[in-house]
Amino acid sequence: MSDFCVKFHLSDSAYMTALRLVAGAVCSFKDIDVDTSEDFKVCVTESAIILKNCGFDQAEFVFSADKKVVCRVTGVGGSPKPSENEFSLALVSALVSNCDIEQKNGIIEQVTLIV
Amino acid sequence: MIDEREADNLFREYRRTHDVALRNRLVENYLYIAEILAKKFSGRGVEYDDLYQVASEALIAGVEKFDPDLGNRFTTYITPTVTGMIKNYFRDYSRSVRVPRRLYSVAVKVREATDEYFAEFGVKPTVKQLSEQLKLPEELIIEALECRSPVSLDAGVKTSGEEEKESPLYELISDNGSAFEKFEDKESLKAEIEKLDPTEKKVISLRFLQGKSQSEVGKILGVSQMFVSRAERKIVEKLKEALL
Repeated sequence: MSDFCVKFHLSDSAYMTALRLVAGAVCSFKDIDVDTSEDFKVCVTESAIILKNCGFDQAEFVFSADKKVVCRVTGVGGSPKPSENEFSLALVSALVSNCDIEQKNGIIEQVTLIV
Repeated sequence: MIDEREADNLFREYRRTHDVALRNRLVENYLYIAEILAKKFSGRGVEYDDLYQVASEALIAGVEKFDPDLGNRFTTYITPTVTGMIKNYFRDYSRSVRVPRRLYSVAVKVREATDEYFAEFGVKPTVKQLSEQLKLPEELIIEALECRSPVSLDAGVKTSGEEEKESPLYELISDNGSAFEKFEDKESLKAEIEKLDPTEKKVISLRFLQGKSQSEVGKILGVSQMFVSRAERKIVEKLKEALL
């Protein structure tokens, strides 16, 4: 499957449902069970909230489904600043099999989720 | 009251002429059915007047469609129709997030099929498996899975009373006591909670000791209500696994 990209303004929470549908569809493509898929969907939307907390005004979500399902969430624009996300990140890490956080000067810029 | 034979003749006449005055005469004649059925369902959180209106609309639609020459009596035909419309109204009214009725019906089937699959195989199904089992397109299953997303406890819900008002959902849910009180072996539970990591302990503390709603916990910890719900479920599953 080719990479699938979604980008939207984080201030518009209505797009979160569309994002969940995309995440669910990608999981379905890889025959991932509905429970694991739900964990993944929650983590994808939560990553968006983490980036919003960090001051980004847009987020870009790139989904791929080769050996595993991967979602790379990157913050775009806005006025990024360090933010308290310790709890959020701990739970994201607990829900997906692999989670990679990229930070620069204490600001989370990218979250990569793998199931 | 119009007798049965005369009513059948009026129905035939209405089918031929579509005369509104004739239709209204038939509706008035059978309005008592709408009244009885609306009363039967009143006192369950929806105003009687609203139910009566729904029942009356169903009655009008029924009068317009009824054909006496198909062999049914009107009362036999209209009772399940009106009852069905009232039930649909309850179904729509009681949901805090409105979803199309067809999608909601699919969501119910998906939930049942998921539970059955888990009971049989011990693992949750994939969308493809659900699609094959329910003979529905995968896209529809994916959409229906969104219908079971948790609803915020702070979400406003319309309530009926002397005057219609909106209350947060958490005010309408009775407190049946903490789920943790149901565990007989409290000492074992305490020991298992001690093994949780600090963040998980914080969720337990805020939710079950301080009695905060998922939404409030989300605000304190800077995460969404949905996320707290998911985390809570995971923690409870972990504790159950350790204790059973």
